[in-house]
Amino acid sequence: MKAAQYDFDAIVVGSGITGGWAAKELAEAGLKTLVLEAGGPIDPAKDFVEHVQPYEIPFRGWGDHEPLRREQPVQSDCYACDELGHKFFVNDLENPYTHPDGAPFSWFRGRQVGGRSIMWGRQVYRWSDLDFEANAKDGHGNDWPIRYQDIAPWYSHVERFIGVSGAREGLSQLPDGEFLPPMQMTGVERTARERILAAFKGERVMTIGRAAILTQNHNGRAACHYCGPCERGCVTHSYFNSIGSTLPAAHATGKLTLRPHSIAAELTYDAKSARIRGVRVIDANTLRDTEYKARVVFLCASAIESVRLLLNSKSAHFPDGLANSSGTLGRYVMDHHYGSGASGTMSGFEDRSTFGRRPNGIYIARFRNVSRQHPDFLRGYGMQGGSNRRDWHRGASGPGVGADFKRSLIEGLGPWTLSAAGWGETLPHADNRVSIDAQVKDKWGVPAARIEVRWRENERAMQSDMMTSMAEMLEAAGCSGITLQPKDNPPGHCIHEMGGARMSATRDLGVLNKWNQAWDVHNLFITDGACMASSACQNPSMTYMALTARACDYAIGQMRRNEL
Amino acid sequence: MSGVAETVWSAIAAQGVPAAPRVLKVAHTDMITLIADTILPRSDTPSATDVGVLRWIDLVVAEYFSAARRSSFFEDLAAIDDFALSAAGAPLARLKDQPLAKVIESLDAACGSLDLAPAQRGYVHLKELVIHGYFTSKPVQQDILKFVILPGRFDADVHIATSAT
Repeated sequence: MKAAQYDFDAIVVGSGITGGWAAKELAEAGLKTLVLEAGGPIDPAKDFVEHVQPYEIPFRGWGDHEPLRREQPVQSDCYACDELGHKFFVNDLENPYTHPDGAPFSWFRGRQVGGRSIMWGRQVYRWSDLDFEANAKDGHGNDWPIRYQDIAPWYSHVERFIGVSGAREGLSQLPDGEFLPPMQMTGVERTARERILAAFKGERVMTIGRAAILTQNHNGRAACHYCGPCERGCVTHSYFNSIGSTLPAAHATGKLTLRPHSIAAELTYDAKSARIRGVRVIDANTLRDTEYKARVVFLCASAIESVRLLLNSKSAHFPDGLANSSGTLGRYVMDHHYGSGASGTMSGFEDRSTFGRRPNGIYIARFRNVSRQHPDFLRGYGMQGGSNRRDWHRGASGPGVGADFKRSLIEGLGPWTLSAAGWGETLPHADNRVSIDAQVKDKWGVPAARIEVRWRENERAMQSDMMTSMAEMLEAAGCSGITLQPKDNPPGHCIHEMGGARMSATRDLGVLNKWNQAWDVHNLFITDGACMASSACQNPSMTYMALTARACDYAIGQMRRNEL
Repeated sequence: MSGVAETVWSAIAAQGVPAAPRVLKVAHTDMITLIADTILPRSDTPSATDVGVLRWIDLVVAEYFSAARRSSFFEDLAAIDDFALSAAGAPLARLKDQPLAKVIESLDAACGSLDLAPAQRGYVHLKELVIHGYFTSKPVQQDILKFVILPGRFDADVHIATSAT
């Protein structure tokens, strides 16, 4: 096909964490790039609300129950979908999905320029070969077609641009990155770290969270001012999101066209050339259909949206969904099971407090199944938490009345508490899957996703161990009043949904090759969470970003050599 | 965001004018005022009702609560009166001094418990509203707590007087 037949060199579907990265890398390589975003634009000056105070809103941050219950019954189960942040989440009535009875799935979604990078958790960790080799070693899922050395330079590439604060620990299972200075740990956390290191002979390491939040000015963005609620936006762009970092970089090239309100409904396939011809787009406001053509298409719409788009892109050649000759499309969907842990009280620090609100916590690197096999489960988990002293909020949960009680809430603080909970790896199962529910369509007539994901015995056993092991660490740290905290969050709730179009070493085992390129359709790349062949236990966005940059580099090279 | 709630609260927040309660009846406001100002009385700092807690609770009950929750809230307030009648011989709003203090002390002892009788449940929920409404009010946030919106730094190790704990 000649260049004139294309509207753009590249189309990127989605403008969030990975879409922003694809846009930046492709546009900086000189490619005329179209980014399609289903939602509307964001104006940080108007839409970011992190500095709005509780007395400025009617329900003081509790949320407006009726509209939330009516229009966002799924989304409002996410902590960030509150009275101020709900506008960054979709309307569930307009964006339905289904799941089997008895198998709930929480699908938290953001449709706006910036996607979920606006309200993501900002924790960023490298994976290691413990993760990339896991499937091959224990036989669950298929082997990754890459290893750590393949992605390590791209982790560095991403870290240097977005800015990641963290502490170097020299752990093989949690490789160090190119860090900005770490945020401070509290005295309680530093003491707990040392006591845990000693008690477990260095096997359990509590470090400060590695966060895509700037501790010093970086790449034209200001250091964090520690106001607290990052999930409501950041006018100084001190945490990484696409609208403050990658999309402006792409825009600066003059090669970017960003089209909001553009719902990618179908990828059009040309059987003769075995290539994607373009993307059929529904204008969210006018409902008008338009097809945009490009030489290469990157799907960065989020794992389930990208899988849904492929399943909805059927043709005579691909009756079961585009690029699905392996039959694995929609299968091996995962999330992290998380939330079970323990908390305790630590004495000896009553004369210490903090100033500022650290948008970060502590991280305990995976220690299970690193050097020896646990008898009850495969793989492992990391733990996230922190220490704090309760302020006036404690007044609502205990006895007390009168002037002295009021003064104690104004002037005093509760005891130091230290807590953490596990984020666990989920095994890939073929029948944890996304399909299409032909009976249900979204507001724009696009058939909805049906999501069927269940926790299994391995995840349950790990959740139990999360509580026990955290209690052990709290005891070693010198805590009293240790309480186990079981959690049974449904799949999806961690917002780390991934898989469904996995990478594989051979075309019969997956949808994508080692470059995130579809085995069946060479001008199609999928670099969001759909590409993952296993889940590891680390927060996955850093790996998505690194894989995206790596795939772009490969595609750009192929295009320059006219091989694509 | 509900347009009605926004409008109502904007008017209250902007002017501080006494707004007629929307759903709370006189008996409710008498009881809530008494309980709120017993929990957080006027001292060298304002009382609960001084900073508009009563009006905020009225808004929450009217707009934030579902119809079912609103109904059970009123039932639980009625149970508080029943409890006061049996314990001190009069509805709560007609009690003073020691009898009032004893009834509230008895209800307050249930805070933190999981298994609550209706009167205890009503009191515990009301106390949650009073505490949240007071400490998130503008006068308390700005003038009493002196909340720093833009700290500009995070210091993990600030020394404080132990008497403040």
